[in-house]
Amino acid sequence: MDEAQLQVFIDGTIHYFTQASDEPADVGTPYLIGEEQTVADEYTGIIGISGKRRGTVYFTAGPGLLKVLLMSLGETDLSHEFLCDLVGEVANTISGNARRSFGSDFMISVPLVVKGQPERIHSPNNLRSFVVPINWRSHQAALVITIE
Amino acid sequence: MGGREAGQYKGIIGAIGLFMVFVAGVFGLNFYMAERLTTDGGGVTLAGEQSMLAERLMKNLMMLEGRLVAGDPVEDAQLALRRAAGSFDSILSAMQGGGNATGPAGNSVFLKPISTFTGQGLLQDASRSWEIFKEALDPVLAFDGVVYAERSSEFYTPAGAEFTGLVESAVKVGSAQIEPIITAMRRLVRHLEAEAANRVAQLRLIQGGAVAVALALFVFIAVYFGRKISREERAASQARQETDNILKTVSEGLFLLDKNMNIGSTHSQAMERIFRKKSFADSKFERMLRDIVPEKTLKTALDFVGLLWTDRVNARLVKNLNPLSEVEVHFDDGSGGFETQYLQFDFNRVKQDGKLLHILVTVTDVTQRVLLARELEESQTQSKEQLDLLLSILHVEPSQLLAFLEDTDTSMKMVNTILKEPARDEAAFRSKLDGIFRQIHSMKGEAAALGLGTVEHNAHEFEELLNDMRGRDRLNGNDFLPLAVRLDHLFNHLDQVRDLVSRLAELRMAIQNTPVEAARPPHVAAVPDFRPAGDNPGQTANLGTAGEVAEAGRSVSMSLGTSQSMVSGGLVGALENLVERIAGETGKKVQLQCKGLGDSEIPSVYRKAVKEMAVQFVRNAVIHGIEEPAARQSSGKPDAGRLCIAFNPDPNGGHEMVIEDDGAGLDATEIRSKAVARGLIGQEEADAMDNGRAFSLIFRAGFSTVDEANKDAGRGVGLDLVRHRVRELGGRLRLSSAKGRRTEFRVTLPAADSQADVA
Amino acid sequence: MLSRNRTEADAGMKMMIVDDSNIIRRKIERSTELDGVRIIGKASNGVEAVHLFEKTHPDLVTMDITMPEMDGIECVERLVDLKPDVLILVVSALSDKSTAIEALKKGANGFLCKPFTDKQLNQALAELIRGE
Repeated sequence: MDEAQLQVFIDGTIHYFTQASDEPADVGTPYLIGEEQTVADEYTGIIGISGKRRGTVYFTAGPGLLKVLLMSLGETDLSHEFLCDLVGEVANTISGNARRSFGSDFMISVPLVVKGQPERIHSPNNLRSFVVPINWRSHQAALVITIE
Repeated sequence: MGGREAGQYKGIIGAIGLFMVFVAGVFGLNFYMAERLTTDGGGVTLAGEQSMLAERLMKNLMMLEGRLVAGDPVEDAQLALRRAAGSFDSILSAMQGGGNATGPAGNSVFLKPISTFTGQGLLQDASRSWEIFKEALDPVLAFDGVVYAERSSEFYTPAGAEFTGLVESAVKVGSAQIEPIITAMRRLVRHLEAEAANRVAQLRLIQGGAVAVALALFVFIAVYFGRKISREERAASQARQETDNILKTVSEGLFLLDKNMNIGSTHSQAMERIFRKKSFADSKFERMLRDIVPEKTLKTALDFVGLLWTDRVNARLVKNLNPLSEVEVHFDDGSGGFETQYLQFDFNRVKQDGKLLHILVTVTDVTQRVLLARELEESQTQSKEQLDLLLSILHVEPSQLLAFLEDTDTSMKMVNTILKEPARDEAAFRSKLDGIFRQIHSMKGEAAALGLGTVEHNAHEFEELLNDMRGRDRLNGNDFLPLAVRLDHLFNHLDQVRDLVSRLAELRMAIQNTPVEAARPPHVAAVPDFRPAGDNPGQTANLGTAGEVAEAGRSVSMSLGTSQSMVSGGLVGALENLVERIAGETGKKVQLQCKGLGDSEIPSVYRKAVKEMAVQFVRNAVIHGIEEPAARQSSGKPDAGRLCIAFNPDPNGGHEMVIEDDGAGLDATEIRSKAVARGLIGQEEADAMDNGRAFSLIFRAGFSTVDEANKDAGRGVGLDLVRHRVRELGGRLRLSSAKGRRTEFRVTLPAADSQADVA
Repeated sequence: MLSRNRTEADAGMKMMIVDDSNIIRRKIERSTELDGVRIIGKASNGVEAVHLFEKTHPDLVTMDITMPEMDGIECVERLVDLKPDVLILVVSALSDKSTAIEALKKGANGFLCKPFTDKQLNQALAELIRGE
C-alpha cells in the first residue's frame, strides 16, 4: 500500500464533505493500529476492496457529526435511518472515487453500514490499518484503511 | 429435431399414411356402389317402362283400327304407333346388346346390355314374340298412301282397303303376341330388382369387410407404435436420468453458451456451489462474470469467447489466450468484504454436422492449487530477501540484537502515539515532527552501530522525509500520510527481523540436537527395562530435548554456532528470561543469582554443555524445587525462592558447576513410588533402596514427577540429558537434598584441555 | 474453418515471416520444417509485410504484434483484405492477451506464445494448415 493509493480514499472522503457542506474537512495526522484493533464510532460504512490488492476501507463517525452534516444538507429528519443512510453515502462516494482512480484493477464492493461497534470488520490478516482522522467543524470522524 | 428422431417417426408416419389410403379406398368403393345402384335402378325402370310401352303400342294399334272403321284421319295415330314401336324396338335391342336407345319421349339413352343369363333369356322370349308382332306391324307402319276414297261411292281407296286389312291382321297378331312380351318384361323387372338387391348385399359385405380391415389396421398402428414409442420414451428417459446424474455429480461447473452468449437451460449442479447462486437459466455469460471479475478481464473474456464463434480461428491455437484459464474471482461476502476464489474456465466448441452449435464451458475451482503455488512462490522470493537480512543479523551479538528490537519497537510505538495525538494547528504538527525525529534518529544510530544495514536504511529514509517536511512552510495532517506509510514499512521490516531471529534459533536447535542423538552412549539401549513402558526412549528424548533447546535458543541465541564467542554471550540473560517466564507461568517468585557464567569464564569446549545443563537445572529447580509463595510462607521462608548457579575453576585445573535452590528438596518416598509407577524399577527394588540411591532415580530417562507433559517439564528427559552430558565430558554429578529446605546439584568437570574433541 | 485440400498443401505453401526482431525471424526460419512449406519472405514491420505480400501472395504468415510502422493488428487486417483465405499465426508474448485477441478478431487464425520451442512452432503451423 503506498501513499498514492491511500490518498485516493482520503480524497474521496474530503470530497464528500466539500460537496455536501460549505465547510471543508481537514485531515489529522494518520497513524497505525494493529490487526486486532478497530476505531469504530457509532456509525460505520464499510467497503471491501479486491482485485490486485485486497482489504477493507471504512468510514466511521458519531451521531453528532452526522446530524450536523445532515442539517447542512438541508435535511430535517435526523432519525437513525437517515444517519445510517448518510454514512453509507459517504462510503459510496469513497468507493466511487476509488473506482474512478483505480479503474479496472480493483473491485470495490457495495458499502455495508454497521451501527454500533462492528463485531469484526473483515480484513486481511496480519495487517496494520491506517487510521486517518477526519476533522470537520468541531467533530471528528475517521477513515480506516486496511489494504495489503 | 435430430436425424435419429426423424428416423424414429418414419415408421409411424408410413403406417398412418397407409391407413389413410385404405380409408380413402373404402370411401371410393362406397361411391362406386352408390353409382352402380343408380345404374341398376335405371335398368329396372326401363324394363318397367318397356312393358308399359308394349301396352301403349297395342293401344295405338287398336286406336288406328278404330279410326279406320270410323273413317277418321289416321296419320297421327300411325305416327304415335310408329314412335312407340321404334322406341320399344331400340330399347329392347339395347338391353340385349348395349347401345343407344330412343326413349318413349324421343330422348336418347345409352344402355348397357343386361348381363345376367336369366335376363337375356327373358329378353329373348320378348324378342321372339316381338319379331312376330313386328313382322305384322311393319307394313302398317310403312304404309304411306291415301286411305279414304274421294268419291263417296267407295269408302276406302284400294290402298286404304289393303291398309285396313294389314291393320286388322296386325291387331290379330299383336293381340296374340303382346301378352308374352309384357309377361317377359314384367319378369325382367322382377329379375333386375332381385339382381340389384343381391348386389347391394354383396357390396355391403365388401364395405363391412373394408371397414373391419381399416379398424384392424388402426388398432395395429395404435398398439404397435404405442409400444414402440413407450419403449423409446423409456430409453430416452433413462438417458435423461443418466445425464441428470452426471450433471448432479460432476465436480466441475458445466454449461453451454449460444452465439448470443446466453447460458443454456441445463447446467451441472456444481455451478451453484462455484458461483454461489441457484439459477443460471436465461442469463447471459456477461452477467455471470460481471460481478466477480474486474471489467478489463470481463471484456477480454467476452472477446475471447467471441473468437471461438469465428470460423477461421483455430480453437486449439488460441487456448492459451484464454483470459479465464486461471482467473481470480471475488464474491461479495455480504459483510462489506470479498471472498476470493480462483476458477479455471475451459471453452470447447460443440459441433454437429460441421456446424457450430454451442460453446461448452467447463468451470473448475482451482483455489487450492493456486494458493499452494502462490505460497511456494512467495516463500521463494521472501527467502531471497531474507538472506540479505540474515547476513546482517548474523554479525550482531544476540543479546544486543534482542535489546535493539525491543528498543525500536518501543520507539516506533512512540512514533505512532505521537501521530495519533490530535493536532490541528501548525505548532502541533511541528512539535510532532520534532518528537518523531528524535525517535527515528536514535533508532538509526543504534542500527548503524549494530551494522543492521537494512534497518538503518529504512530509518534513514524516514529521517529524510522528516527533514523534507521540516523544510516546508506549512504543514497539514495529510502531509503526515507518508510518515504513517513509512512507519508501517518499518514495523513490517522489524517483524521480518524478529521472524528471522526466531527461525535462526530453531535452526540452531536442530543443529545442536543432532550431536545429542549421535553421542548417546550405547548402554542406554542396552538396559531396556529402564525405559518407560511402550515408549521409544530415543525418540522421546529427542523430542523433549528439541523442545527445550528450542526454548533456550529462542531466548538466548540466534547464532548458528559458527562464532564461539556468541554461544554463552547471553546465557545469564537467557536464564533470567527463562526463570521469569516459568515463574510467571507457575505463579512462583524466584531470585536468580549467576556467577562465573560470563563469556570469558567458561572454557570454550564446555560452553555448549554448560548452557544446556544450566537451562535444564534452572527449569528443574523452578518447576520442581521452589514452592509457591503461599507454601513458602507457611514454612517460614521468604516469598521469593533463591536459585544460585555458579561455574568456578577448581584447584585441580578442572571446573565445578553448582546449582542450589532453597525449595522443597527431594522427597525420597515420592521418587520411589513415581519410579515404580513409571515402571523404572520394581516395588521390591524400591523398598530396598536408601535415600541416596532413590535420589539418583531422577536422572533416569523417563522419570518425571510432573504428571502432565508441558513444554517446560514432564517428559522426563531433562535431567537424563544432564547425566549424559556429564558422562560425555567425563565429569561427575552429585546431588544433595534436604527435604523441605534445599537441593544442590554439583557437576565436576575435568580440566578443559582434555576435552579437545568433545565439543 | 477454411479447409485446404491435401493437394494444395503438397503443391507447397508459401510462408512469410513478419517480426521486428531479426533473431525471431531467423529462429522461425530455421525451425520451420514442415513438408510442403516454403519460406518465401521475411518482413520486419507491417508496411514491409504488406508490400511483400502483394508481390508474393503467401498462403501462410507468422505475425508479430508489436512492431514499428504498422503493428500486427492492422497488418492482419490488410493481409486478410488482400487475400481472405490467408492463414495467419499470431506469434507474440502473452503479456497482453487482449491485443492478441484483437488480432484474431481482425482475421488471424491462431496464436503461438513467445517464447516457443521448435516443436511448438511446427505443431502450431501444422495445426493451422490442417484446419479444424
